[in-house]
Amino acid sequence: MPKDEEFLFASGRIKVLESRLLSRNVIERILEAEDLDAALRVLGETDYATDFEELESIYDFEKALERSMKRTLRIIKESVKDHRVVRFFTLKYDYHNLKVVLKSRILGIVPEYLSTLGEVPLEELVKLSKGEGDAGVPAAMKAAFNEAARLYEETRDPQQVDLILDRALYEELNRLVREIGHEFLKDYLAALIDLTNIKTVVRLKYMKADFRTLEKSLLPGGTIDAGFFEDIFQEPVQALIDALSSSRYSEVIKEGLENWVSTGSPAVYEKLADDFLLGILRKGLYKPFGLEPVAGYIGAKENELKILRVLMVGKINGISEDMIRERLRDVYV
Amino acid sequence: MAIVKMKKMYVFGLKKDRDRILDTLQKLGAAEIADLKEEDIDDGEVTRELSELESKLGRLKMAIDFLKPYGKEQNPLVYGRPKISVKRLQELLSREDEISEVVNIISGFDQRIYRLKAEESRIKNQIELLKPWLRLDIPVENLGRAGKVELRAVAVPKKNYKPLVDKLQEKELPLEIIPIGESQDDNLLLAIYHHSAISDVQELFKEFSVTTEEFSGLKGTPTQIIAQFQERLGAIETERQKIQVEISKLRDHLLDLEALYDYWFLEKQKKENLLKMAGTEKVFLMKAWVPEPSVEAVKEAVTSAAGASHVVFEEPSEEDDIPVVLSNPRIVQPFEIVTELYSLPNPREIDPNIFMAPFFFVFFGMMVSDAAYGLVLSLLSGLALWKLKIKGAGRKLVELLFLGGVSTFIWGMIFGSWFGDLIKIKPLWLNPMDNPMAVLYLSFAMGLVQIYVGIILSACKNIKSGNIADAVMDQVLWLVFLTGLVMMIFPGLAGVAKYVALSGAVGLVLTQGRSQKNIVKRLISGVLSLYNVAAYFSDVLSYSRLLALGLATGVIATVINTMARLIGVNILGYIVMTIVMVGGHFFNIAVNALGAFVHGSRLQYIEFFGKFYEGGGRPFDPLRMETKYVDLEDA
Amino acid sequence: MEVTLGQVLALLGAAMAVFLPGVGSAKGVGMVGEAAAGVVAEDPNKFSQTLILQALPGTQGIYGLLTGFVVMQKIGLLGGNLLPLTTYEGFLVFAACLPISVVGLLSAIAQARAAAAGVGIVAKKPEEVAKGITYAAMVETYAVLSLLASILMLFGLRFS
Repeated sequence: MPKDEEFLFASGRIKVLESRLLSRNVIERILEAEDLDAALRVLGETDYATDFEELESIYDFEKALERSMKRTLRIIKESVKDHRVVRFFTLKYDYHNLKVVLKSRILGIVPEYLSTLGEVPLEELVKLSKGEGDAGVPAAMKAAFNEAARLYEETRDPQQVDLILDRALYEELNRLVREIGHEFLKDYLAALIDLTNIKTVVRLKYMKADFRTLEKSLLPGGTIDAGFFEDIFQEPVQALIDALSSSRYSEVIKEGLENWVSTGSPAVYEKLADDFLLGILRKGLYKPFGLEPVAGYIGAKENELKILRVLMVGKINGISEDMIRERLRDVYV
Repeated sequence: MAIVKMKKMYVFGLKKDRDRILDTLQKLGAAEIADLKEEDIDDGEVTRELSELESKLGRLKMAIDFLKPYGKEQNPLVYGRPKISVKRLQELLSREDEISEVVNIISGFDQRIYRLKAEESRIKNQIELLKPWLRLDIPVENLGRAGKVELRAVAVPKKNYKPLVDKLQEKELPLEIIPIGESQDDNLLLAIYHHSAISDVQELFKEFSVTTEEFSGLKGTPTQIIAQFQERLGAIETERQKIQVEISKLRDHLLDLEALYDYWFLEKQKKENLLKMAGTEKVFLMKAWVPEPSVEAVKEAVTSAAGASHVVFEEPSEEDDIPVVLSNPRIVQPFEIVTELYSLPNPREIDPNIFMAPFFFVFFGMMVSDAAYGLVLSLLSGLALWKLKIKGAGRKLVELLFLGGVSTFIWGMIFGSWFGDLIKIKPLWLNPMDNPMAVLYLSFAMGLVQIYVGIILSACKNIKSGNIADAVMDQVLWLVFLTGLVMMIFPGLAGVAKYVALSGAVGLVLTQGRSQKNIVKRLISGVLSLYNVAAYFSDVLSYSRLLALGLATGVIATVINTMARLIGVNILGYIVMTIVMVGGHFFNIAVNALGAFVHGSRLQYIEFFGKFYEGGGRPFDPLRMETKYVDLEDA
Repeated sequence: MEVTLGQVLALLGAAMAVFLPGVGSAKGVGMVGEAAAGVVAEDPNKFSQTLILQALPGTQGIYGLLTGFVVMQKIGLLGGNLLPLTTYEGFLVFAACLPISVVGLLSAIAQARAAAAGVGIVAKKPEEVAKGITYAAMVETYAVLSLLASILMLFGLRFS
């Protein structure tokens, strides 16, 4: 387990950066902005100013967000000795790219919307998709890719690609967290997996999916084991809410799932789940130095991007303030 | 009268007079406007004006920050802040459009510089990519298909190069490769082949991971392209310098921008206070805090600004959140910083500064305790006060250091320490290194005095709030008990001491459990309360740091002298010796002054304030002419 | 010159009093420095405030040197004629060096943790730096007390 002292420099930097995260106040101002321009003016006073200035069209705002995240990751990468902490957060971008590359191959198109936040070079991923054996892609990802490709050949079902690669991502995350051996990340990952699994179960119920799909969709490594979900799969959602009423997710589940049942939309559940995870990360805010502030900050930044994404999409499409507000996540600071 | 009494003021007047009243109050700087509204009632117009002001300020700030490095402002620490007269300000306001144009120009420059930087880094990247291809002397636009021949610039991973060449010889394809150079990972080649062989060649390339360079959008040989790029880089640099010259032409506007910023900043503060008032279409009601000595002046000012207004003053009530202003004798004022760093007194308690100041003064000197160091400290801080224009908390701190230096000087004479043992002057009392125990006892004695003062102040607080019984039982009995214990140390008093201590102890046992209903529990709590004597004991011991830090200063000074003397054997040695002495003693002064400040403060915070002080006061923050860059003058 | 075991023990004590708190302070100052550098990397204006915090765990090293110096003076090393200490006398000196050696080492590191946390305060609320300094200074009390114990013991020793 890495010692707190290894993160002194990074924590010092992060304590300053934390104070530059968007405050509730700024989010409110963006939310209340009359139009997109007014919203952008508010953003112009924040750390995102330069990222948005470079944009040619506001519809490319995703690029600005990516640029900002990239800068954050770079700062943290150069400040920590143990790279694995950052890897915990960047791994998902690589798996995202892996999915895009494989699906593009299946559809016979040029890969689009690749993330630049991953750590495996994109050319290597392209090489992998062209079937070149010597592509510089880590063995685990290569194996997952080949497995997904093979399964697609067998079933011709593109959904299998998602299932296999998601599972592979979480298996690797579990492995990484075990290797790092830090309680904070273990706790966070377990909660992330549990909340994702709960969502999967409910979603599949509504889709009237079969049992095999459920088995394949459940992610490994949570505190609630797969058997529980398989047992409850046939029962109504209320049974799930009751069964988990004494778990630590009880509030998320009660409010989120009941809303889901009544409105048919998982938006509130997703928001509450994210807020719950942010609550775990927030330990980093109160710890002066160590792995927690580092991991907490990266997580907080991801959360901030989610908030901005909701805001920008809302503003661009002229969605009402209240509708946006309902989907807005909590803030870290 | 250490905490100034506050009065609550209500002004009831016509809405059209609002601005004028705020104007006068801002100039006077003696009234803090309190929020009358329970919640934000949306005053559309004011809010809009405020947000306009904010964006105006934001733009000015950007321009000021941008221009600052080019300006040649005099250091405000030495020369004070620039002064702007009202006349000049009016002139500036009349030219506001012109100044706003300057801001636009500056923001244009800002963007241009930014774009140049982006272009520069893009070109630099491309140059890096092209460099390995320097030896290719064909214009890159000629690559590709020419008649029946394909001409391609390709890169092959180094490890695949040899196998590729071998395979070529074996297969006898109509393909010729010419080595051009190598980059970090690849061998770079020019491949020439007949069009008919294209599928074979592509097969081959795939096998050996050969990639084709496109050079899209470029023209000329790599050498020419790089030369063009270099030229462009030069042009960028020239343009940047040109912009910089342009900007530095604007630097005279810096002061204008700053003055304007401050003007609008003050306006904004006034406007913000408008939001705190209640009112109707025509009239308004304002609530404000005014220190008692300024009551007449404020009343006078308000009525003369707007005769139609009605002003009422009231005593604050129990629940009011009263802001705090301290008023202490000049000599005590520097010590306020120590309390301010902890927490201001709340408006309903005693201002501890006047009681704390003498202790801090004595303790600081005792912990540095070198006459020469004291002189240096006082001289340096005196010089800073005289020559530099320091304001606010910084000034108080330097004044405190000056007084600390005086105290250090006195203690240095008492202990006979002048740069340690460098200058030998007989101590007025004794050298602590010869008899540390005596100084230790002195430290304890001083600690005891401060703790007594703390307990007495606590008793005063109880009496002030009417709890005389509590004062007797919680403080006086403890004083009796502690006094008895202290007296036991002196052999002559031991006989009396026993009875004094005993009577105190009995009193405590009988009274300290009074919150308990059950008589047995009451006695048990009483007995247990005697355990608090340990807390007082450790408080007293904590003052041993007065001796320890004093000794540390002296011993380190001696170490410096000893080291320096060891070196002083010849001319060069004497020079080094001087450097070691000067550097060493300065270091020692700095470290010990910091230590004395920190530990001196700690003794106040934990051992002294812990006895009686609550803190948590909110500083009085009147509407005033508080500016950021310049001083606006009325005349 | 005949060297006695007592002299060796006394010098060992002095050496220990210098190097243990010295190691502690070096580590402590380094720790706070790292955190401070992190803050300054993002906000260069915070240099002076973080510097004060960084200096705090440095005092233990000074206290240790000071104790070592008192020992050297006591046993006549600085004057040039080392006193012929007996073994017991040597042990006495060694024992006197123990408090500052051990407490100096450990308190420097503990203080560094508090000071590094104080750096976090500076990052967010620079006006509250005094509180961070006070927290760190609370730890220093124990170094001061052990210094006092060591020095009083040494002053109390009298060798012929």
